[in-house]
Amino acid sequence: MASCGNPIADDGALMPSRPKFDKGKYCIKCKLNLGNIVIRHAVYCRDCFIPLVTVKFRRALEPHVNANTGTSKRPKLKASGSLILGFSGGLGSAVLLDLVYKSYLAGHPPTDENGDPRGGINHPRNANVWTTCAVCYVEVSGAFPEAHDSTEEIRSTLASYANLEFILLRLEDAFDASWWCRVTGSSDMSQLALELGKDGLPTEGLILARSSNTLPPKDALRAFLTALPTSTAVSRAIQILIRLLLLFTAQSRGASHLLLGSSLTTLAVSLISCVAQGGGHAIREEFQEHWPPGSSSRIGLGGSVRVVRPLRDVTIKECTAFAWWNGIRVLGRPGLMRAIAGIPGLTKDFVVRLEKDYPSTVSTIARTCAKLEPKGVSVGECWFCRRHLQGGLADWKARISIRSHPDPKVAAQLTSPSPTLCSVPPEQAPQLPSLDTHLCYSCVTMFTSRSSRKLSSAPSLVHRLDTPLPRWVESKSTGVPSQEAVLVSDNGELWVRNQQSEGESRKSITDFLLPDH
Amino acid sequence: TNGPGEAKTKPLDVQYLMHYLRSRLLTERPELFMEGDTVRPGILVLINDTDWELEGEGAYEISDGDEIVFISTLHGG
Repeated sequence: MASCGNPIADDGALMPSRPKFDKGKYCIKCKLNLGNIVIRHAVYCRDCFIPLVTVKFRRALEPHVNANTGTSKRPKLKASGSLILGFSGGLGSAVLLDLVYKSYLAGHPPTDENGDPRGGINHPRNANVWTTCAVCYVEVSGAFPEAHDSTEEIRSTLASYANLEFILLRLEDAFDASWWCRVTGSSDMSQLALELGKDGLPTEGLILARSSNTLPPKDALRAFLTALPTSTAVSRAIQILIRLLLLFTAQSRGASHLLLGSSLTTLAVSLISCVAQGGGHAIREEFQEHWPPGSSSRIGLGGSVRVVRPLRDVTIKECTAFAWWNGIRVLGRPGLMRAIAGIPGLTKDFVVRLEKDYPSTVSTIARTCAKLEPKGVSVGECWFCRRHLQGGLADWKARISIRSHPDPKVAAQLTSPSPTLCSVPPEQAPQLPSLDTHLCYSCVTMFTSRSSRKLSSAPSLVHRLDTPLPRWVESKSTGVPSQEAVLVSDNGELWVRNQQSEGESRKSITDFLLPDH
Repeated sequence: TNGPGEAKTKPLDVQYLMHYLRSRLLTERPELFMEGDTVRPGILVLINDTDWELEGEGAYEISDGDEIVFISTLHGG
């Protein structure tokens, strides 16, 4: 019987480490071959492991292919549009591309002993599920001055997959009027800018920058990222820009599905990170999103787009082994961009370490988060991230905010306007809606959070004008009288309809408002 | 067996190999490869195409002709 001894004096006193697999070293599936890999305490041989990953991929994807589920248990797969694959060159997207290509696009159905195509009438190999397939890559080097442009490496990686269209996007396209015109048909070239608030508290309005102040897309991107207060905010903003660039592109091209290569591990990281940054209300969209036709913009093009993550049941270890044994080339990220900063980086570090010792944790995280239901109802859409907007957010923030400052000079500055810093004369400044009523909580936090550490480039409490915004952030009501709508009623009366500003609306109902206590 | 006064030796194992790689071959960012006495979380080790968890991890004794592969899993999605 073992006893607790002194490991320094006696080598045998060390407790033997617990094996990382439950049963023997033989594959639990075929029970014939010696195992090659341990996945969540279960041992698999290589011959059983590879089909296992393929089955998991198909099980996560195929229920979402057809627009209507129908009554058949195994319906014929037929999507309503084309397919877009988001490709970053990383492990997950490389594995996803390989699986999608070999499952649906390779065009060479395997045959049985008689030479006939295998699979029945419902087998996906015997019909084109999607009309076309394109691989979309977002180059992010524009955000970092010394970053390496990986476009050509990506292009050479994709060259081995025939008949795939390559769509190149750049992160700065989010600030490019020509890209916006291509995907939406909008000819509006005005640039929206963000005023971060003279008191450092939530933003107070949007300012339409004049055309002379319009920055080139790359400069606008860097100005936007530089204005963000924390590294967490920068990481989140880049993720949102990538996501929406992909979505708008997919919608403009009539795609019915946008597939992303998030593995179970990266999904667990994004779920926890999302909640940690105040995005719990949109946690269900981290699993899957559905953009109805013409939603979120005035595009009016294409049908609905489903964002699916088919590798959401495949851990990062499984992806790695699958890529290695199938000879899939994984580019990875250049050293400058390797480290993810802020909350996402800390979360990834935590989850990866946890997965090493407790491999079932990531699936537990995903299953638990899938059961969550956001409280309250959505009252619209966040103007920045285009996800659900919680109701009552502005009131809640006003109740918990303290608007004072111990420094008398700053306090005086907060209470008085600074016309010298304003590029637009007050009498000409259009009355714009308050931005904090149109941003979700996580986006408000992204723009206005303050790091506890003093950063060298931290913004001071002054006006920060002309911080460009992505093209999809449009002012639904600028406050400037919009074009008057003239209507003629049935009896010949002329009705003129004007859009009221917030001040005018308040003035018209002031007699009915309850006094603030 | 070793004679009196000689240092104890043991067969070459994967743990020694990791330390050797870190100290002799890695040119930058060794902390991305090893953490303490083992590989950093997120690195998959295959010994002759088999997960090192099935082969005893760092205690596996290396023989001639063995193929040992270190694969980083932290390459994003």
